[in-house]
Formats: sequence, C-alpha cells, structure tokens
Amino acid sequence: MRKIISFMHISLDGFVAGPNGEMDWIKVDEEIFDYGHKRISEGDTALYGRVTYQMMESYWPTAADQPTATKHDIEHSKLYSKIHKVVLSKTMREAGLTNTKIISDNLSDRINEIKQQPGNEILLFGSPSATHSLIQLNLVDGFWLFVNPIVLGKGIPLFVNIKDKIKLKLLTTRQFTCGVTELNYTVDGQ
Amino acid sequence: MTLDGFCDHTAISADEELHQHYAELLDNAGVILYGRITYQLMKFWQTLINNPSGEKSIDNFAITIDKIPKIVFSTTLKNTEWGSAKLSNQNIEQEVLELKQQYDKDILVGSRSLIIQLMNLNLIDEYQICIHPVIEGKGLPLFDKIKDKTCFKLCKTKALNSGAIVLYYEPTQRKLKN
Repeated sequence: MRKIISFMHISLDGFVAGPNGEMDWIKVDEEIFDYGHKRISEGDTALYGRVTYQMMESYWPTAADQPTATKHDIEHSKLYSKIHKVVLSKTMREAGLTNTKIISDNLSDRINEIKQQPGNEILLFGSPSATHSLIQLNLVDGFWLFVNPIVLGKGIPLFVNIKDKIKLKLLTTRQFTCGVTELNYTVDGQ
Repeated sequence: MTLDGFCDHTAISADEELHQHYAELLDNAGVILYGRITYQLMKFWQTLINNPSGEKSIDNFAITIDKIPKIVFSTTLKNTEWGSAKLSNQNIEQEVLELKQQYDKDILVGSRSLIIQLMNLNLIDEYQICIHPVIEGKGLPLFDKIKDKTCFKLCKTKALNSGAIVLYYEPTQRKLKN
C-alpha cells in the first residue's frame, strides 16, 4: 500500500507556523531545496489541505514565467503542474480544476482508496489542519521533518489531540549548513 | 524529549547506548543542577550503588551519578540525603553566575523547570536536546513559558541506534520579541 508522508518545516518546539500562520522563520536554501527536490520529484501524487493548496495555486502555476524566476522556481513549477493533486476541502468543487481531486467527506475511505492504488509515496505538503485530521485517523505513515533552529514559544503545533502514543522509526537524518536538521521517520508497526 | 516536545522518562526505555551517552556526559562535567522533582526521581540511582543490577551500563551510570556533585534547588527539602548532593538556598540566577566562576568544567542542568528558568535568563551556553522517536500526545512540554522567540546555531547532531537523536545548539544573540 502507498504511504502518506507528512512533509513539514517545524520549529524546535514543534510548531509549523506562528500564531497567525507566520512562516517567515522557515529556512529553505539551495542546499535544502536540492536535497528535498530529489524525493519530491519521485512522487506522482501530492496531498494538500485547502489553505496550503490555495497558497500553492497562487504561486507555482506561473512561478516559472516570472522574469525573476530561479532554477528552483522553474523546476518546482514544472513538477507542480505535472503532479496529481488531492485536496481536502469541504467547500471547494472539482469542476474546472485540472489534474486535481477534491475530497470533502468520508475522509478515511477516500484516502484509503488512493492508498490502495498503484503508485509511489504520497507527500502531504504542509497543511497543518489536514495533517491533524489524517493523524487522528491513523492515515499518516511517516513524517519528513525539517527542524529549524528556533524556538517560537507559540503557534500552530504539528501534533495535537494525539490519543494514543505513536512509535516511530528514524530512517535517515541530515544536518544542513543553515542549521536545519532533517528527521525522516516512518510510523512503527505499519 | 519526545518528538512532540514533552519531557517524560516513562515515554521511552533507555538502552545501553543512552546510559553510556549520559554517563560520559556526566563524567566530563563539574556539577549538575536539579529541581526537587527531578532530584527525587534521580535518587532511584542511590539504591543501585548498594544493590547493583548486574547490567554494566546501568551500574556504571549509577556510579557516575553518585560521583558527580549535585546542587538541588528546593524550598521544601530539609536535606538531600545524598552525600554528593547539596541544597541551594540562593536564587538560581545568583547561584549559576557563581558556579560559572567556580567551575572550569561544564555545569549541567538536569531539570525541565531549571532549563526553562535559565533559558529565560539567557544563562544557557549550550543545549543538548535528545529527541526520541515517539509522539506521546501528553506531558510536560520542555519549551514551556518561553518569553521570546529564540534562534539557535546548530553545532552538531548525534544519532543513536534507538532512533533517538541528540541535537547540539548554541544560543545566538538574536532574541526576537514575540
């Protein structure tokens, strides 16, 4: 079965954004981008919550066309248009969207259908609310975390309302020059 | 701490490598500071001095923790009942400033509450955060009541076979108001 992997930038105290969604503390430089791009480009399906999807939609489709576009913009823009997108949203409609599936109800069943289809691992990009729901339904199979060298003190946590302890296995870890540490976990026992 | 940021010694089972890691750290340090709660928890090791468990890494850790000088911050304890431990009756800021003068070797801070107080006082020179591969869901957060957003410099990391990883940070001068 395909795995769903939560891909997040987090602070040392476990927040994925500030209290008002601030993400200006997240470090992504060329080294991290190049490293991350390898795994991301192997995926055929990406999963988002509505808010993150709308953020992505407002940037990536046109990012490569801007005069200031970087190598990073061009590569990721291509990837973004190609990848099959699945969005969790109660309000959005699928009509008019290309290569995008909306899941608005029966989350567990719909996600399990996708997990049973052939394909590679499914990265869940950011999307804290969607991640919280999927963790609670035991649908997240791994965490690919980039721990930033900062304590925020408050904000939106990655882990909330965890009912039962979740044991993990650390698969790989990497230290980046900018001070970020990659922690790549799989949920144990699945 | 757990991946979700809680301090809870029951969340993990410490293996040989972890005992060795911390025994080495204590062997090379000058003194360790505890609050009452963690100190009372650590008193467990006293019993192993007279009644060794037979497991080398555990018994060695007991010898190490017995040997290192300990300072306990408590307003309720009357005495420490441990020869190598003494009570502090000073405020923590004053005590730590004096200890920094007194010791060339590292001063370890072994309690969550003391780490938080000293972090807010800007008195910590290095953080060694051991993240264990478990999401616990509840407990006492390590980074609790932190006044300011704080940036660190990552110095190194050490991955253990259990999947725990120790992250070594130094504070930077950049304190940002929340």
